[in-house]
Amino acid sequence: MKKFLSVGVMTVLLVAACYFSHKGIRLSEEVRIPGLLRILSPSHGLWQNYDDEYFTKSESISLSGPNSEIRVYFDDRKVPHIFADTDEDVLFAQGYIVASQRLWQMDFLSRVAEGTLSEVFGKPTLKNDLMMRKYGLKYGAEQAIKDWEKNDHRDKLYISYENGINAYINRVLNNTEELPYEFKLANYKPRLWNAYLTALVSKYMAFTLCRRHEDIAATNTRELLGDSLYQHLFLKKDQNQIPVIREHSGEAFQAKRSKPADAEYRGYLKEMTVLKQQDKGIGSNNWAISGSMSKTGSPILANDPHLGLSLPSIWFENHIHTPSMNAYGVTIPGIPGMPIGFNDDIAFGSTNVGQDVLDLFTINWTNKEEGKYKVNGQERTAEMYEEVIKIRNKPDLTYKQYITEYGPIMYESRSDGADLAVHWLAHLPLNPNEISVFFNILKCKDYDCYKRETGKFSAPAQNFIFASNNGDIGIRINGKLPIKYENEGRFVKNGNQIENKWSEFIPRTANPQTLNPSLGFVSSANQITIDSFGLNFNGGFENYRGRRINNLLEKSTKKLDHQDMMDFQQDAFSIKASEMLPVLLKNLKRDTLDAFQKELLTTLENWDYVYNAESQAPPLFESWSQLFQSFVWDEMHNDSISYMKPSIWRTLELIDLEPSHTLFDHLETEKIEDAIDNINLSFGQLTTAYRSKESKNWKERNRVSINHLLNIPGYSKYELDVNGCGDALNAVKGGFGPSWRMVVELGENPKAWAIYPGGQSGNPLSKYYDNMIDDWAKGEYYELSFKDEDYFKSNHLFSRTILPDNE
Amino acid sequence: MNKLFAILVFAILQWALSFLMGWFSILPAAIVVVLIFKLEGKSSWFIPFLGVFFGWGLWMLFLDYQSDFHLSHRLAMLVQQSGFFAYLIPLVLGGLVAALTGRLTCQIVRVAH
Repeated sequence: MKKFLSVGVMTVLLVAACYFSHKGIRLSEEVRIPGLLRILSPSHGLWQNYDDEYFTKSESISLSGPNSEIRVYFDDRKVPHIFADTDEDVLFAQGYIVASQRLWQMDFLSRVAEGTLSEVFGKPTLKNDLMMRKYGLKYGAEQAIKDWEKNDHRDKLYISYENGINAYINRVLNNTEELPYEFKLANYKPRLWNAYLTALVSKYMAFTLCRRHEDIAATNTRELLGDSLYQHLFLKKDQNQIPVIREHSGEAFQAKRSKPADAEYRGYLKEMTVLKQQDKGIGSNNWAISGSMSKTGSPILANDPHLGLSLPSIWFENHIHTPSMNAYGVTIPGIPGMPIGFNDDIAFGSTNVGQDVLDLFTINWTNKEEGKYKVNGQERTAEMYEEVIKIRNKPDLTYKQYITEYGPIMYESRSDGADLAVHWLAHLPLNPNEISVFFNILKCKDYDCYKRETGKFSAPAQNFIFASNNGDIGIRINGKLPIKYENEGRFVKNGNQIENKWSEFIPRTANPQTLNPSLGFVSSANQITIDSFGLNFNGGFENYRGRRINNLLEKSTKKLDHQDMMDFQQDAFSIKASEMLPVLLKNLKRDTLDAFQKELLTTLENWDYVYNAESQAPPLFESWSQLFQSFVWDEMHNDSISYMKPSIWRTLELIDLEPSHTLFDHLETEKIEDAIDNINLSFGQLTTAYRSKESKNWKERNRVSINHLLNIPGYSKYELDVNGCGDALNAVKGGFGPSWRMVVELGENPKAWAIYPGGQSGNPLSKYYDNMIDDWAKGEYYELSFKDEDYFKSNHLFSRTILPDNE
Repeated sequence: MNKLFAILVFAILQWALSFLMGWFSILPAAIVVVLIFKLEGKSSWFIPFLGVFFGWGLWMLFLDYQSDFHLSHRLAMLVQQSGFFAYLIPLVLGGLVAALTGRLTCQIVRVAH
């Protein structure tokens, strides 16, 4: 009996040990230990995922898909140089190679956009999935592929790219020990790639770049302040701003749309919890100088898109070559082609436009259960379906989703208030040719071709910059630009009349552009596009970086070279600080300051407004600035209601022109304060806070970090030693910053220098996972190997020859 | 000598079976070794345990060596520990599972007799 009992106990123990060693143990809702033997056994676990050794051996592989032999040479940074005979083959190879290095990232990004992370990661990612479903990215991707599938051209080129990705996916599905690291860690397998997943990655970019909506906050703020005061604080034009297009060289167009009566919702939207907003204080830069300004006599183009920094990086560097094309640049894994790069004849890049293309509409239900609501006095029925979110090891979460004439319901009222539907460019049918834009531009040799191809791009609208060997420089705003009345979309709109919805766009031929302006340069930094034109751009535009680029280029007295362009990209000077700090200092009463306060004051007075990582003045200024603003705009602070705050330039204007405005008075005190009182009170509070703590330098305050997409600490980089801030050209802020720095010097043989904070491999075990970060932080660049095949035949780390499998 | 041979057989067997069964190969390897070598008592426990320790250990060492010992270091970054942990966790855990299997096989044989 005792023996039987012993066998029974041991059997139970063994089964339990095997189960937990394979499946893992859930410690809490948030924490799960993966199956340790599954992931750490040497046979199929992560020990098999070290691929650097494999990727030092050159080999030939046979794959079904390509029509002829494709040669791929990897250089010492693991950048692939792909040589193929046809467009289809080069895209096949691009898909295959990108997938071989970044497959998990591609799958992850598509799941983020689709809102299906919980299907593989369980409840911890449910909040993110719910938010993405509310934004309707899945709905937007479904709309996009309906149009893409109509396009015959897509069938040839896109399908080659898709086949390349799937050739790699099939390889890892058949050899599970080769499954990328994170698939093994979370114990799931990749899905076969298709146009829908590419559309999701594209929608993820739209989510990153054009989801800004302050409609709820603006509506609440106007309700709090009243029309007149709101206008006084928020609707003035910054006279210092310099638009992207200073000399429009395209077709003249005057957009006209009049504001319908009763267009905007009036009242508080107190119970709406605003979904995660686009991050502020970051942005991208690009500029191009003509040959007349450069040392070489040829144009130079610089571009540094600033995005959320992650590991793996959003960019993958590659060089692709066919008999009709030779291009180098960065691609977004999952999207064919390259949005930023250069070829033998031209260089190109982009920054985000930032126009407000997401508007909210109240929906007045007559019977929500049946999806009935009223528009123009008539009852309409919303499209309804069950939205199902699968949660690993948990029951599915289902809720009813409604698609109204304005778009999907994005905000649901928690009591009797109206729900809000979203009318967003990212949901609308797009140009069917859009999927091949970033491939077709690689073949362009002049501005006309570049203009034609980028003109097919829909969203998010970009400032597409250009420079060519024949001496042209230009910038064109491409993307669908809605025709709006002045300030349309600033506030939540009434959904009771369909006229309130914008539905027309500026003709593509009339999109703002400039070619070879008299200034000798073109530039953009997400600032307002153009002063006139009747476009009524209503965006969250920053002016400081745009002004800084213009200042640096306009005031330059010498001929510039690529090193100057790099120095400009690293520039950490803040115009905002240079304008605000003198105002604060001028109005500070010094007679009552003690020794400690005087010491802090000296630090600030001696500051050159450059955000150096080691400098102590920037955090001091930032703290003072924030305290001052919270003192001044205390009316517009409430933990439970979303409000806006006026911009810094407007605050400074008010201090100068109306220092005794009632808004400067504190709500909590009996005394009536003015602007000067606020400056002194905030300095007092600042010094009180500093007395009890050690002074920090800028890098301790602006903790620049690059997280692994799953936030695994060991595979993330923290507290990088980087100069810059959100308002400087080197716009580095927390987890945001220059995601790719590129300088291209055109000429008979174009030369280029670039770097991005990451590495070519998406594998956390690889030496090429984060090998460029330290150099990026130091501000260094790599000269790019833009050479012919003969060079790479004898200069490569390893190579892959992809042979067509004709069986 | 016989015990050393048993450990060697275990290591080879689990390696061969791993192509079909992944890490679960240590279970049949433990069963077969206990039955073939008629292991009893402490041996039925320790030989599969040491078989995993040496079999997997050498395999891991080989893979690690190919990466100039970069692999274990990076693997252990998952739990922000030194590379030693990348070895220790699977060896101890795998060893215990194999040992438990060996001991259970031995017990079942005893009951059957």
